[in-house]
Amino acid sequence: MNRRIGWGDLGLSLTFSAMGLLWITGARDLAMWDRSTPGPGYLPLVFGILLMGFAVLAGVQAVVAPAEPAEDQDGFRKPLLVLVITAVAVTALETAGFVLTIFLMLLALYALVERKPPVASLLAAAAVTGSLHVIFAVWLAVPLPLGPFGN
Amino acid sequence: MDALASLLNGFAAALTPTHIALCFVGVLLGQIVGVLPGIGPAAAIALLLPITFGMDATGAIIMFAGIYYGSQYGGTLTSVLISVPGESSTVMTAIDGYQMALQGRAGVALGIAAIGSFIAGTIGTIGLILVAPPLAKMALAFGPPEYFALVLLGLMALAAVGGSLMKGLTAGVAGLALGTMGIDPQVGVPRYDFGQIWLLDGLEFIVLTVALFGLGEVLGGCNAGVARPVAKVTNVLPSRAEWRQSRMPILRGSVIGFIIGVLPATGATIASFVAYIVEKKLAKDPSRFGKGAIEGVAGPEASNNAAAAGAMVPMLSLGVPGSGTTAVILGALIMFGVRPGPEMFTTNADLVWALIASMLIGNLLLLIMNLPLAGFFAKLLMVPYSWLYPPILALCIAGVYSQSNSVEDAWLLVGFGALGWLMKRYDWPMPPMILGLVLSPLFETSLRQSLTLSLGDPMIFVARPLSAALLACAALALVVPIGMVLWRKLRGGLA
Repeated sequence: MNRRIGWGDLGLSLTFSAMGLLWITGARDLAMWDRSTPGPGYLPLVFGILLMGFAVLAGVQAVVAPAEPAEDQDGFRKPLLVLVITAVAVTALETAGFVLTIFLMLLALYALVERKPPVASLLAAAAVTGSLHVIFAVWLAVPLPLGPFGN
Repeated sequence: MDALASLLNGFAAALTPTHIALCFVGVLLGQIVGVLPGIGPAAAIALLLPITFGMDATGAIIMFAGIYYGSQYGGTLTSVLISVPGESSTVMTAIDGYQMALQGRAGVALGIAAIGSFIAGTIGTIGLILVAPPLAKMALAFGPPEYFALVLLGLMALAAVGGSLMKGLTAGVAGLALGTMGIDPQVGVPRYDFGQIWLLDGLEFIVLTVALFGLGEVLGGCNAGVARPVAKVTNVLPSRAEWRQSRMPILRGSVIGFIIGVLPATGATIASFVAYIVEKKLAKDPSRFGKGAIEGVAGPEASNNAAAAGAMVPMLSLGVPGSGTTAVILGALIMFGVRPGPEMFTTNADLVWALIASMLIGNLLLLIMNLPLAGFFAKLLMVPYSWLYPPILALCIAGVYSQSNSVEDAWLLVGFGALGWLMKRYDWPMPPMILGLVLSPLFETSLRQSLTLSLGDPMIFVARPLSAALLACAALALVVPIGMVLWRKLRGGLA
């Protein structure tokens, strides 16, 4: 028998089950009941148990009666690439500074991921970075991270 | 008379140059995000949250509400012109609206949608003025058990609306669990900080909201990079005959939309479905529907705008959001130090009435903008998403970083953004998770206070009539969807 399984749903239900388990384990170190009042560990324990229970049931649903896959299920490659570029930018944020990091991130997204023309990519990346710098650093006076060149 | 005097005060506050400007910015942004693919009103509000730090709460909430109801107008453009609903609440508009566009009547479809939306938005706001204050007054009698039951009802209702009840409940409880991170509000014990000092403050609402609705939406939509061909917009004013055909559907849609919008978690999408079905049932010739019937545009469009005003009723009077976007607005209220709930009408009366007055002003602004500028907004559809999502991503990082100058928050953005993408991809609802996080402190405090009052006896929740009634509604919100699934299966088995 060739049964179709909703692997995405199963993966998410496992993630939420793991979170539930983490909450149950963490609650054990906290007081459950203090005289006639629930202690700081009471609700986290309840949430952990409920989360695990619901997530397991959602997982069972993914195996027994998987949802029909949406018609427009696009590939994973591009979103993963965008996610990796975002993660790299966040890693570099405090060392390279906000302006340089965001400019390079936008350039990579436009030129490498979206294959936009180089000049247009450069101009768009510079314009967006400049606008964000003006909004956050100048108008809102947010101390954005400065890089090695004081950017 | 009290409401009228309060409304006049609200107009005095809303008609200041700053608030008019913010209302205009809100409805304009709402219109734009409604048109643009891959970013909805919840994401737009989430992205603007960090920028509104330091602003006065009234101005910020006026702008956020403008984005919410403005997006209902914007979503119509994509439905009519390219048959791609910008918002789920405009799905029904696409059926006949697009057919009208194919017949060269795109302008009339957009015109009647704008007029209908204006009338419905105004009727909905008047409904809000009439219903919300007495509801809030009644809810002033709420004690901790009633608050506990109310939060439970809000969560259950929002969790039960999506495709899968289990997924909705899991997301809601995950939000509640995330809300327990940080220092315990009553005893001061650190919880789930994993030895990290920066987690002692808990998980910020902005971080989760921007991650799920901002980064998650971008990752979910970045594959769709190409713009579609757009129908030409000419002559937006309907003829006398078209107006005659549309006026009753607009009135019916307004009433249906408002009533459905008031019910927690049902919102504009269901309202537009019901309005379309009602118009089709009442039509002399139902076969015209699906082939460009103007009533199929007027009814649902009026309905989704009235529902947006209706969804404000439970949010303002009870502190329970009526939709995903109002859940984000609720979080924003808390961020600005406003405690949502019945006392808002007394403790924050200026804010509430200014917001209500601004909704009437915003609807007028939208009508003025939409009739002459429908063609201009249609041009926005020609911008491919591949140009739009990188700046949204950069704004997500800048916004999350700026709220506490913490790179750790930016890391949480990446992690929860990935989770949001997968949730979107596999149809796990995100609003219950946001609502769970927002309402978690109130839920926990009210439960603990209730049990302290009753010396640990849980019967306090059913012994008080209001609390028992709310709990019964929460149970119904859970049982009805399960019952409907079982009933469908049973009927399918018998057939």
